[in-house]
Amino acid sequence: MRVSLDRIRITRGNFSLTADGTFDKGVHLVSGAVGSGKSTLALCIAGMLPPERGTIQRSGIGSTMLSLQFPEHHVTGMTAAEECTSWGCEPDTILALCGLNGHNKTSPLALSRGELKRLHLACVLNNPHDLFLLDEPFSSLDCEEKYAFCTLIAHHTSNITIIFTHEQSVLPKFDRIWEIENGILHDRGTPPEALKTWNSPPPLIKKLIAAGKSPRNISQKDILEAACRT
Amino acid sequence: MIDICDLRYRLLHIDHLKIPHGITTIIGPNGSGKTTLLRLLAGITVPESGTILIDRVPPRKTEVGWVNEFPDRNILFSIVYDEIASPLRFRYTATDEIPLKVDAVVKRLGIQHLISRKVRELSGGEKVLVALAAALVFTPGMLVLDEYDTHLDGARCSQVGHLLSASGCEYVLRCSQNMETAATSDFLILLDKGNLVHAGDPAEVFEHLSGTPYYPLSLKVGL
Amino acid sequence: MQDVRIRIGAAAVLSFSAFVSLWGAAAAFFWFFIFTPRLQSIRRLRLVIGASVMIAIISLLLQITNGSGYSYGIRIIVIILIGVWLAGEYHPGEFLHLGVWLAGDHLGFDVGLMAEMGMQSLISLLDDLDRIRIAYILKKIPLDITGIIPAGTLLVRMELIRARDNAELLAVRGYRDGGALQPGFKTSRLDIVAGLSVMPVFFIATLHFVNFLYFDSAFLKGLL
Repeated sequence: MRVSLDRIRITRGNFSLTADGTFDKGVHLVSGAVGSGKSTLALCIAGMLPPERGTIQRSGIGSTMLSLQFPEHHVTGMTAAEECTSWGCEPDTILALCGLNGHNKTSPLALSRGELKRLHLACVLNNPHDLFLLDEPFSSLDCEEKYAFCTLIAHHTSNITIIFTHEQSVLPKFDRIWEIENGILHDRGTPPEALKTWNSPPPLIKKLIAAGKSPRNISQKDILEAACRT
Repeated sequence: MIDICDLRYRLLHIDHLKIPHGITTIIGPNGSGKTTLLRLLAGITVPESGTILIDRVPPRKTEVGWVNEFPDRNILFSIVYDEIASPLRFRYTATDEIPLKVDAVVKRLGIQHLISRKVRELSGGEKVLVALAAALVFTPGMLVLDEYDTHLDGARCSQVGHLLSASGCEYVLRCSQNMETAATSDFLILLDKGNLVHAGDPAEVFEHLSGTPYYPLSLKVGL
Repeated sequence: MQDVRIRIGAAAVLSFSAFVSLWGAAAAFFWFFIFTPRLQSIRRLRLVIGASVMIAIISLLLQITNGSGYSYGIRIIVIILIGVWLAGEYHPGEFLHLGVWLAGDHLGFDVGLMAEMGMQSLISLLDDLDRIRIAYILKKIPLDITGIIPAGTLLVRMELIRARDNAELLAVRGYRDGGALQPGFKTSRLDIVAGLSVMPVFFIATLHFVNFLYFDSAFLKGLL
């Protein structure tokens, strides 16, 4: 199971992004500054945006799921229950799972952004897929939900999960770190080595590295373990 | 000082709250009433009962800069320049001053390269920066920002943080799920299920939150 | 064509010319062929195909009932082409400048703002359609008749939410009545040439229209 980007180039107006690399089974982080092209790359890997040049090879990938940055862009149901059904999920189970009991008849567009994101992620992650592309899954989640999401992602070991995010504080363990800089996707490698070549790590990790306490990975547990190291 | 007294709006109940000048961050779980409180403070919605006074003036009579939590809901015009210039145009600012003020704010935010772009073609983070520029361009007395940082990367968050401190706005009210950002505020408010749980100096409020997911990681590791 | 004033004026004259006579339509089409990017401008609007099909059906019905359907079809299709060119040439923000230039800071600004927000809504509607299409693909929902009805309802709801958000944003940004704007336009030589060239089109159209009224119209002959 792998996704290979063979010298792809994506262009949108003045913006262009080139990417070359292979995503194997595991959890990948694609980081990058605002406007660096994370969402565009996610759309391209999902097959929603054809690259201007180069090819994307998907071997052993039966099903792909893309979670867009804005949960409101996924809405097709008139009620929260219909929205769950549209993802092939059982409404009562999903609504209970994300603390939205009694909201069956509420319009998804009337939910708060955090509630809608929670509902959306619960639906997306409810079904198994070979390739998960999650664009800014942490945005609008509260702290508790961010940690719960990290726990959930830790169990995603049998497929390829690519998380496109600039989340700075609550992150899961990653198998590989990628970084978009100046319109190019760079493979920073596997942690902990990747943390040395990662140009824009979260500030806390940067401080730990500067203090000579480089963490093994970037989850909260790794950060705490590194900080306590003498 | 912002004075909130016997405020009732849907699930939100706040008996008494005084918010001092400076940067105030509202934290709490999703659905706790953060956005509702911000909308009331911005004068977008009116309380069912109770009062909000900003230096003894109701919110609707205060100059407010506002950034919505949905980046797409901050857009009125197609082009970035028109979007940022709109508050100045609506206030009949002298036409020769408008380009200068727009230019100054985009330089402060480092988004000069976006000025001729179409707003709809920008990324979520870029849209938030444009909305921030539109909110800051007329130097409002109060700036209300609803989870703007959820769409920004670390470097941008820090840059915007410095900019807010130097913005000249007497009150900056924001909600955030980034506790590192919250820790840098002058005043912190914790809401839960529509109720005020804690309000005060961030260090004091976070003391109550030790052991919860809301306790900043930087405080945990002592960095 | 860069100058919105000349573009709007030219479009108004050409549309009138195409409407009043078949010769006017032919002259307007000739103008369209010379001064516009032609096929590129047509490709910009998906609605043109739907509109053309509708016009073709109406023309056919008119041709069967009173024999003037082909003339009607040709004239209306030329008007649609002019309209599509006008929409395709739209530069964001220019209606605001045109409004203020025409009617000043208050009424002109408000009319320009309305036009701009109308264009913005149309663009947003097309964006929403694209997003819904992507959401349907991701959810593997067929976009057939059973899927189109909820999608349409959703679009209406999104538009209503957008209208409420826009109203809030206008209020919070300080909009009360009009606004300050120094109208600015870019006028190229080609704009002036193209603008002046609508005059012969107008003369051809009115000449044939007057000719029709005085010499060919059975109705007028009856009156006289």
